[in-house]
Amino acid sequence: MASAALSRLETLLAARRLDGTVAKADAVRMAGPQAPTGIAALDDVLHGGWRRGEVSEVIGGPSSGRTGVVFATLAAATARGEIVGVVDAFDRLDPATLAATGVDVSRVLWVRGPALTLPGRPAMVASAVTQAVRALDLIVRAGGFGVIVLDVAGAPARAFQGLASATWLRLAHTIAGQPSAGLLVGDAPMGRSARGVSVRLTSARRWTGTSPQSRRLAGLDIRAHIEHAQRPIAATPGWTLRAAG
Amino acid sequence: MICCLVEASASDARQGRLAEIARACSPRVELHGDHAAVFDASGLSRVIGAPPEIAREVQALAAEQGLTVRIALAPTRVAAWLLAHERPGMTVIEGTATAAANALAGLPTGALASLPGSARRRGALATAAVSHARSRAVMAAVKDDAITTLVRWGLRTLGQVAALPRADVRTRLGDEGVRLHQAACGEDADPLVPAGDTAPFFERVVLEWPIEGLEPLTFVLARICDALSVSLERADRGAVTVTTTLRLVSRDTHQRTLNLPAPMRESKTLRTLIVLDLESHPPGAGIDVVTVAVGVVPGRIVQGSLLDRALPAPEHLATLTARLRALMGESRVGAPAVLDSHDARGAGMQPFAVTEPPRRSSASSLHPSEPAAGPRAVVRRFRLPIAARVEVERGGPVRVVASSSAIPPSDIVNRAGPWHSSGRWWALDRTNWDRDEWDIELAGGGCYRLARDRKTGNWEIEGEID
Repeated sequence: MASAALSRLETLLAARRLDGTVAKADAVRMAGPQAPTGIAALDDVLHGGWRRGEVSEVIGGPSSGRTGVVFATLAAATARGEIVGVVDAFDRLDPATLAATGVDVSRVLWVRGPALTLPGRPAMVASAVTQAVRALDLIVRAGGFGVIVLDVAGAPARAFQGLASATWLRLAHTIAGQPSAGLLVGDAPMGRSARGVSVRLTSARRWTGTSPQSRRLAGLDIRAHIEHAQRPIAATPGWTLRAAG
Repeated sequence: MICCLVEASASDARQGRLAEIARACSPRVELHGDHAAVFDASGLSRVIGAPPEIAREVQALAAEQGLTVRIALAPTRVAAWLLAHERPGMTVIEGTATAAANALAGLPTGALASLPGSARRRGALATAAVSHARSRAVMAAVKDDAITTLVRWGLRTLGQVAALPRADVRTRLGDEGVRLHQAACGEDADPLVPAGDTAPFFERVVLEWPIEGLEPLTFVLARICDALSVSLERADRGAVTVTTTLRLVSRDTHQRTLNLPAPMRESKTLRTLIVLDLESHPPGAGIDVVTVAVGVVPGRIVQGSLLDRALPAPEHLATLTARLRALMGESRVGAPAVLDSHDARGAGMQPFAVTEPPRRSSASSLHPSEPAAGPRAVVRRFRLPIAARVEVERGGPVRVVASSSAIPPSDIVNRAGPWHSSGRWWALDRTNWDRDEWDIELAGGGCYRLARDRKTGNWEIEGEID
């Protein structure tokens, strides 16, 4: 009975050219509802990781551990055999540290924006951000990527003023139902209307050694605060990112 | 099954006879000068018999022509090529690509020197309008360098070369190294592209009025690609190269060649790829005549797996990367590549292609979400380093004033270093380096990598530790 009803519903959706939504929902179910971050403490709080079919945010100031969290997510995704996309708005990605984090670099589609020194000329930075958002949109529409990252960390707030007001909403609509987890990396919240989780990171630096000769940066002690989520999350998980050497 | 024929001593009197023999056996023949020919022997077993019978038949044909040839039949083109060049008489390898790899394992590393240039590079070099003789010399020099390096590493056989991890080969020897590694594994890097006198797949439209701009051209290309797609569908072929030739009103010819990552015949995909390429390389004048020719291989048969993760089809990926290249720039899209250098500032790129996911061991599959290396703080690299004025006390930096307002002037509260690194000291150009590096934490927040050039004494902030 249920399958007959489902079949009827699918037929009706197909007649109205909405059948893609059913197939997409199925794709999400096949891939698993979450893309694990690769960090157990964060996965626990996020109930398994970044939700697929949504755009989430990793935000924080310089050296807050944003990139470390993103690389851990990419490493976990490529270890599962997924392909991932990274839109690097200002060309900041370092392939050597990416590989050292355990990411299979051959499964990363790297889209490099112009190498700008920030804050830079406002028009050039705004143009780079616009291009990066368009590149992200193309990758999302192509489908098949497990995790898609837009890295605009360091961009001043005015660089986003040139974007259409519905940009993030449209992005959220495009990714909805797809087996991809979208991740925005920046200094401040960008796409709150995009329905995902916003995780703000803060960090304390951990140094070892007492003498100038033995002094080393051992890593970053990270504290995460969930700024925005569909369901309120009160926990503030913490973990340590080891220094990449 | 691919067959390769090699004649050791080609003479002018016998020119073309090898091609005749090959064409007598198959319509899909690839010629390499006068001394070698490769043809697709698939299907001959229904007419002649088992692969050894086919080899004997070809040998008899050659004998009738008065030629002494070395023949190799193997599952892949590269395996047939290497075996025919290295083993005298007749060699037949039946089975899968694994059997081909096993057959190649005993051949000396120097056998790789006989490999012809790849179709992709031939196309790229032709596009760059490099003279043929010069490009061949350059390709041969690059290949020989890579083979010499493999031999210097103590690798005597192709089996030893095949045992190397491919990612490490790419890091050290680049694309040429990967191509040699694929050959040693018996894997074809390029498909067999038949010589021109097989059934051509091309469409030509002579326009009544010249067209300016790419938008009207899109409609013409749509018509051409639809017709090509139907022809390819009927012949069960897929396009691997697409050559677009535009005759311009200025009597010049604008030609672009695209090498596709996989055989494809979708009209929409072909049209999109051509248009995106022409957007990046537009013709200089109005267009009179449009010709599109495609190089073909047999159609791709894909068996999806119920257990493996679905990945984007090569057609979709090719379209996506072409769109991204048109948006961001030709050299701005690919997969990251780790360079073989102690200079951490460099960033390499390699072509992005979907491959089979790596097989996980049972131990690692217990915790699939936990990568082996664990989460780490990483470096965000400033490709244009930020110049800085640095106050130094007792040999160490104590205060930084950066030229960018993103990093406000600040005291250094913690530092580690210096780490001295230098390289390419023998090079007279600007690629040599000699530097001291520091990890610093600023009072205003943020950890950075600071470097001092030992020759000039200039300080730069190279990256943010994040």
